[in-house]
Amino acid sequence: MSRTVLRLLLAMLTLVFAGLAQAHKPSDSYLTLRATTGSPEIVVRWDIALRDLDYVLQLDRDTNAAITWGEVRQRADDITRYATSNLQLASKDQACSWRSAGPLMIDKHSDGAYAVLSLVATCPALGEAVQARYSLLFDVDPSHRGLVQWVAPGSSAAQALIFGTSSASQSLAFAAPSAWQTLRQYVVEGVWHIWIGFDHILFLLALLLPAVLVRRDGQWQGVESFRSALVEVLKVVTAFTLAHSITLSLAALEVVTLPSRLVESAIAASVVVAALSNLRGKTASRRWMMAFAFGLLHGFGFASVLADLGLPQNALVLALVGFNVGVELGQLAIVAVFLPLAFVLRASWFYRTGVFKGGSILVALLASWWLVQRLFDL
Amino acid sequence: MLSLVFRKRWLAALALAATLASPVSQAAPYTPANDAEVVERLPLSASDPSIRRVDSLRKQLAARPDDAALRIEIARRYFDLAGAQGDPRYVGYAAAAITPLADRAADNASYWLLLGMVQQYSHEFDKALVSLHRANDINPRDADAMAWRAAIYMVQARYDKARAECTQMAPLVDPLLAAGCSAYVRAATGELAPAYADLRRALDAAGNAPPELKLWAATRLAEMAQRLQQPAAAEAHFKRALQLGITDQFLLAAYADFLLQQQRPAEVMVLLADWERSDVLLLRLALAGQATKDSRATAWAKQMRERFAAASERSGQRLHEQEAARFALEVDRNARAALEIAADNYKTQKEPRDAEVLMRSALAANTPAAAQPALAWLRESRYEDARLAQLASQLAAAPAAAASAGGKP
Repeated sequence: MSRTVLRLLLAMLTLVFAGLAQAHKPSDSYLTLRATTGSPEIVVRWDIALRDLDYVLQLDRDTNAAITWGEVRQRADDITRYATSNLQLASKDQACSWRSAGPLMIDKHSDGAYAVLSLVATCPALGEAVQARYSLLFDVDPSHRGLVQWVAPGSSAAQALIFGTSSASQSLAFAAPSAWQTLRQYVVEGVWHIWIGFDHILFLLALLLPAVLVRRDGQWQGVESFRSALVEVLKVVTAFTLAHSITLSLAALEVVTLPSRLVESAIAASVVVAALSNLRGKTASRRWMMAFAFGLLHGFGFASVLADLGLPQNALVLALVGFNVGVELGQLAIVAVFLPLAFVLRASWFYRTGVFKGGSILVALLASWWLVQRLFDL
Repeated sequence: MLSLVFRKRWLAALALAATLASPVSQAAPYTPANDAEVVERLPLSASDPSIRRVDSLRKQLAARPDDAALRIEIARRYFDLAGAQGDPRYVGYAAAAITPLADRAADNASYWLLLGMVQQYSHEFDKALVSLHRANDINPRDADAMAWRAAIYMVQARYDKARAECTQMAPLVDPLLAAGCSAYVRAATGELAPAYADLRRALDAAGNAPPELKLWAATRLAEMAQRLQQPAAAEAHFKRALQLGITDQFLLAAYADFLLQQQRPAEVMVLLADWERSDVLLLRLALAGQATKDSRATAWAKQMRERFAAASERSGQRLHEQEAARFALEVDRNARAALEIAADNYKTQKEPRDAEVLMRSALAANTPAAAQPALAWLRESRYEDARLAQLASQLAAAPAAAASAGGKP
């Protein structure tokens, strides 16, 4: 074993830093590719480490270990040729052609100086996507990676891609997501968020639990017909939906904004109130009004989720509608499971005491705990 | 709301990585003022003998691309450079040299050894073990392959396997390496005190061992002494290692950590002066700078954040998580972010330091339950370390309120 390889081995046998045996960063290049709607051109900025360029092109002519700007500048054409011959863009099986869009420059990254290439690729025919094949440095350093930020036409956000030896060919989706894709994506998000948003589900269930019961002679009894339970459920769900659609839209369009801690605390409080009202001995004949009033609050809660997701500025309304529809579909699915079950069980002691009363107490306790947490930011 | 809180936690975990949103890579490029301006310094000049030698081999290879022995020699030289410079690019170059041999070197032990080393380096441990075993199938006396396997087993905490490799290679390698290998395993498996004594004797008897090996043994002795709560002995071992006159950033980092623990940050500033380029040491500089209220501390912290960001941009590049957690905990003083990173890190890296940062973050974040995996490891492995034991008892005493990670619904 040579002494320097022994060092590598011993470095590895240094538990303290075994996870960090790489004291330096491996070789990466950084690419930003930007396409504009209606233009056949892709604007590219490409940062390649001078160390890497030196390894393949011997920039350091005088071998004094110091690369001067002159040594880089005089080789600018070689550098550009080397780079562009190692990134092939093609659209509809036709290669895009490269041209330089500005002089070569320098930028400092955390691990050293990089040559900055400004390039433009002109693609003869525009399709759904641009096929990119990256091969920079792979022949001399298979651990090299090309880190890409791809900005599709009409899109404000960049998409991250990584070219490696096992992912050298990739497709850059040229079209921004279609209206249908946007809609579908946000519907799915909406469904998902009602399902994992326990506070919304519990609020809804707290309001729905009594729908299959009726107060008679100071006692809770099961309703006679499925129809009356269904009507009650529809009233509650519709009121809740209407209310939170209003505030969700207002908040998402930034007409009204409320501090999220306040909203979250109020939502927790609404769950407590809804659950406690079940324990009062009276029929709350106007549960749909409570659903509406508190639904306004829950809408603000959905809006903050939507804000976290990010709204596409060019398809704002579509995303908003999609998300709302998703939330409703998610709610309906919950109702579809709940209502038949509750209706079948409505007359049993298990439902009237265990589920209805016990469940309401549990929900009230849990929501009170959330309320304390959210109020005091525990 | 669950989803929102969930997202917030995620964001907290990514707080460090998120600094990359202001892309390090997209700062404004510039045009240097004149041709004479030096824009980059290479670690080694092309006229350096080690580079010239490998360059001349590469030229020969251009004429004889099918020469397997030449390719293996080039890969070896690049590994030497990687060992000397600590630069992963050279491992990449070594990999490129042997890649064409994949389908015609089935009977070449050296090929399998080098391939195993490349795979190990990119943390493909299971593949590396297979390659290293093949090297020994062809050449049963290849001690290098055994030593690398021992190292991998140690990282994977498969101590019995590691012990077996140590025994197998003992007659074939420098006695100090053999003693170090076995002391290392024993110190991790409940025999810290006797392992310390043995390694100490072996180092005292090791007249002709390579200085790198002596340095390594002395550094490990220092760490063992720390675990045994003998700071004076630890310091003596560190001093002895430093006197060997070899620059080794792992030694510097271990000594810096020792000094920080001993509340001697001013000495760290002297020890690590001008070491900003090393990620490992920059973290220690940032910590010492903060403790001594040095004016450069903020700039160091900023640089550290940028490097974490650059590392996390490579997907799956999670090598810095342990340091990132420590940075979040000690520099940013964001216990929650630290805990998120430390817990995530502990899913893949389960070494004592990973356990330590998880335990400390859990304690700071008031979430003792999150340290459970580390506590379980500490109980089961019988790993002896006074500091870890103390952390464990603090965690046990901490109120179990808001137990599960995060606390909110």
